[in-house]
Amino acid sequence: MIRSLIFSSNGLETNSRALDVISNNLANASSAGFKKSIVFSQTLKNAKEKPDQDAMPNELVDFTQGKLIESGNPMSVALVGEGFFTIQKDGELYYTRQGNFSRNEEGYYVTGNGDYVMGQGGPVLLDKEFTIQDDGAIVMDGNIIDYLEVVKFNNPMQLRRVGNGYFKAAENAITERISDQVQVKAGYLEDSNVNTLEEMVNMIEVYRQFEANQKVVRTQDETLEKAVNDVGRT
Amino acid sequence: MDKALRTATSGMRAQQLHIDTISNNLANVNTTGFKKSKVEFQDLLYQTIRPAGAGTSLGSEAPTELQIGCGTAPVSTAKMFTQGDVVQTGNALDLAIEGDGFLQFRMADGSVAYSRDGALKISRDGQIVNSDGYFLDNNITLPSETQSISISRDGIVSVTVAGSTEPQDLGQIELARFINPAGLKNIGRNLLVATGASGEPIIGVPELEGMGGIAQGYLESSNVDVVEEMVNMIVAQRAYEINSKTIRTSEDMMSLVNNLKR
Repeated sequence: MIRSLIFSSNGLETNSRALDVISNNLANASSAGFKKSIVFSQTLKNAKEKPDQDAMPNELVDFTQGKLIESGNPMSVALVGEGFFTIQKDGELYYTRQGNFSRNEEGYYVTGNGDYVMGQGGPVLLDKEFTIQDDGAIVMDGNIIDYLEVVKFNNPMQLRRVGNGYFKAAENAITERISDQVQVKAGYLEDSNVNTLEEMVNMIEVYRQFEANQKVVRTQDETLEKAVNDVGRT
Repeated sequence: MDKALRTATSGMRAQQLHIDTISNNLANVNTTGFKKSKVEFQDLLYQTIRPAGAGTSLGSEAPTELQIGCGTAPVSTAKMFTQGDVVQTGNALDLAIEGDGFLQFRMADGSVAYSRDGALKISRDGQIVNSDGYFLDNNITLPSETQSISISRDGIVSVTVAGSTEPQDLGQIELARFINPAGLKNIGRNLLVATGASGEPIIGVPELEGMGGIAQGYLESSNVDVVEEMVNMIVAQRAYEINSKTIRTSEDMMSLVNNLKR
């Protein structure tokens, strides 16, 4: 009976983590390039032997395409299809789908947080007027000066979120440069792929599961109370 | 669960800012040369509860990790420099720029401000000024006996004076444009100033090298699209509401926990 109490409390824990994830999805329903997380509980295999572990929720980032919205700013870019823009921050590479780029005081192409947007030849210096073509080419005075560095990951699960719309790749992640096969839309931003209706339904589901788990705990508590106080009473 | 509370709070705060921006856009729907703003958001830091590759009690490795985000934050308010509608006024000193470029005004402290608002006036000394009395930068002074002013599409100001039929050229209005106009700083009064991010102004003659043309007798209205702003407002309000629902759900769950033991 104590074991089933542990099951239910694991359930409560899982549900509250799930709510944390849902709330983050909802809070980022307007963040450009944001990719929602999906929570799912790992199967409780061997739960009999190890009931107190592995009932932890798992989380996956859902990389489906968000819809494109016109930004009216020719410096902002959106990716259509797979891939990530490459960003350099403090000498390290990060990856993002959030294309609200601009230009810093030295004239470099930077993200909204002021980190370098990488071209194939390193940070991109925009000292003149420029346009970005659909194939990611940066054109200045009619000449292509560089291509935006766009990479894809064989296993996107190797990407870890670090906030600010950035992802960090695991050390052993295999990247593939796909700059030559991407479609870049200048003047657009990729909207968050969060579907508020779906998240709302998930939230109701999580809440009801939580409630059910709470009921189970209470029932067990009552049963235990009976066993402890009433059994054997004459 | 208490994390969900804080996350939802950040979402509500972000949507509040979204509404603030929309309300400023809507308030300026009739402001000449006004350019609408748009807020951009991004996610906050993530807390890694369990990293990928961590061993599980079953001897396997966790294939994915458990990361929980801490909400959202605004990252920038970007001005959108799309063309506003050009409206005929018939006033000889109303200028609209069709295409790229800003008019340059010399402010009281000697620095230059840029504007798309071409509702010009004449000072008592005959100089062309904007509504705040800042001189149009190149200091065109109209003779006191001016009868009519004409400003060509490429910015040449000419006047006819009393007693003469020959128009007289007074000077050239030049426009400025920027590599990154979104980097310009608003200082209010329809004026913008250059920053490091916008880059140095590129000054040129209207209609040449990508500059827009000048239309005399017209004004550029704001580029605020009321329908679009209304839709954004609905989206922001619903997003605000749904974040408040998260708070309520989280609170209800806490109260369930409180009732675990009577």
